[in-house]
Amino acid sequence: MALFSIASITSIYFNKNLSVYLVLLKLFSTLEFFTFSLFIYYSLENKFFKKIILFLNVPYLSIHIFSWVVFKNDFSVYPFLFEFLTFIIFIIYFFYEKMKLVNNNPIYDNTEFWIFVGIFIYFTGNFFYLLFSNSNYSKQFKYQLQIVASIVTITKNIIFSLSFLLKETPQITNNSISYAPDLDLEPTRTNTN
Amino acid sequence: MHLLEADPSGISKLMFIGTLGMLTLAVGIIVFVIFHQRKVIRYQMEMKKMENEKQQILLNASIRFQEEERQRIAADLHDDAGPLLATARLYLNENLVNQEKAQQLQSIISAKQIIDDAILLIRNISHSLMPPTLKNFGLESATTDLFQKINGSGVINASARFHDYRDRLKVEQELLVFRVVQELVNNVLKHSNAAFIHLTQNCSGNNLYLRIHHDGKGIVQSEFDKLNQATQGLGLKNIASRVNVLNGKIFFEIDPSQTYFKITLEIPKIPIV
Repeated sequence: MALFSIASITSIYFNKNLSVYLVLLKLFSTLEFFTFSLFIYYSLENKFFKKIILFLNVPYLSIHIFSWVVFKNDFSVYPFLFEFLTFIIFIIYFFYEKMKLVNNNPIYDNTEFWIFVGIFIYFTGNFFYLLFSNSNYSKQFKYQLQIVASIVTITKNIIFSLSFLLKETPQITNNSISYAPDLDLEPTRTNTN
Repeated sequence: MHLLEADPSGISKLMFIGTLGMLTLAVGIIVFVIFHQRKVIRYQMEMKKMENEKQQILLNASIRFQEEERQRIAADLHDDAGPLLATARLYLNENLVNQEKAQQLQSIISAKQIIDDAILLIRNISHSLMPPTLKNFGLESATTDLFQKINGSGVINASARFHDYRDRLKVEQELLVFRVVQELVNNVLKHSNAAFIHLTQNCSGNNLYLRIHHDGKGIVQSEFDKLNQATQGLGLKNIASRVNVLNGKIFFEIDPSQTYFKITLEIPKIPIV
């Protein structure tokens, strides 16, 4: 939340200076990727996917540096595309993991779940905004883009805020019974005749 | 993209449809996850409710069994021990002193005989409540003794074999296990028409395993669960209730060769301190 707030305030302040604005945007997206990947890392159960999400910071940074070098002061869509697709896939995986988990508490009672919902709406809602943001369209179209992005971001922030108001109920665990091992329990059959 | 750049209204439409599509997809996934999880929780709650109902049936059965056992003991004492002692009292009435010596002796002998019968009867009642072999020598001896007695009847070939019973269970546990074995054997004798019955014991980790094999007509786990849910019939419910108290597990199955049935008991050990 703090990250988003700082980013919003600074972007308003530096809106006129494009080069500073782009630097800030790249810095913000890098921090965003790192924060979300860390959050996903702590939320997932599967160790393999946990490792992957942390490891993905390396290719993400590489793409960012590469685009910085190649496009210099221009906006490059590739690192953002990578970020959006990565998080959409991992959030879907998180939902799948939660569906498999045997739990007595409803999923919507969980703060973590609503944070993921917020992030998911943010990335899916801004996906097309990102795809079109690189082109030189009319001022009116860019304004429409801004409206869509703002609505999605506000929705995300509302979901984030509401998620912190949730009170989680303690989880009740189930005891399972193990099966009998293969023991020498065979009969020494006596002849009945 | 070039085509789209030529038509700004088309791009705008595409952007809105795309965003709306993505958001619909996202909301759809979220709604699906929530509803699926609700369905799973509802299913779990139903299972829990069924388990509670089963426990209630078992509890009622065990209370009913206890009452029936008390009634049986009361009937044994009232119908058998009572008349015997009353008869003995008749022999030893106040007129005994006025009788002839030979008659007095005859009365005393008769009274003694009746009192001996009463003692034997009370001992039998007491043994049915707590077998002395079990109390003094443990589960292995009591079970072997039970199977030897059944084998001695000549009706069925019965034997018991204990592989590893160096550490005895707690007395309360032994009694419960013995009662389960007694009930199982009783069922086999009553309903299965088996030619042989064999019991094997073994241990693994902290668990004690008992397995009964017989070649008669038996039941499998699904039938046991079904009979356990039924309102009538106490025997199987008592078994389930005792296994529950022992925190154990019971499994009814048929051998893959389809020649004999197996009943396996898994009991967590509580050794004597």
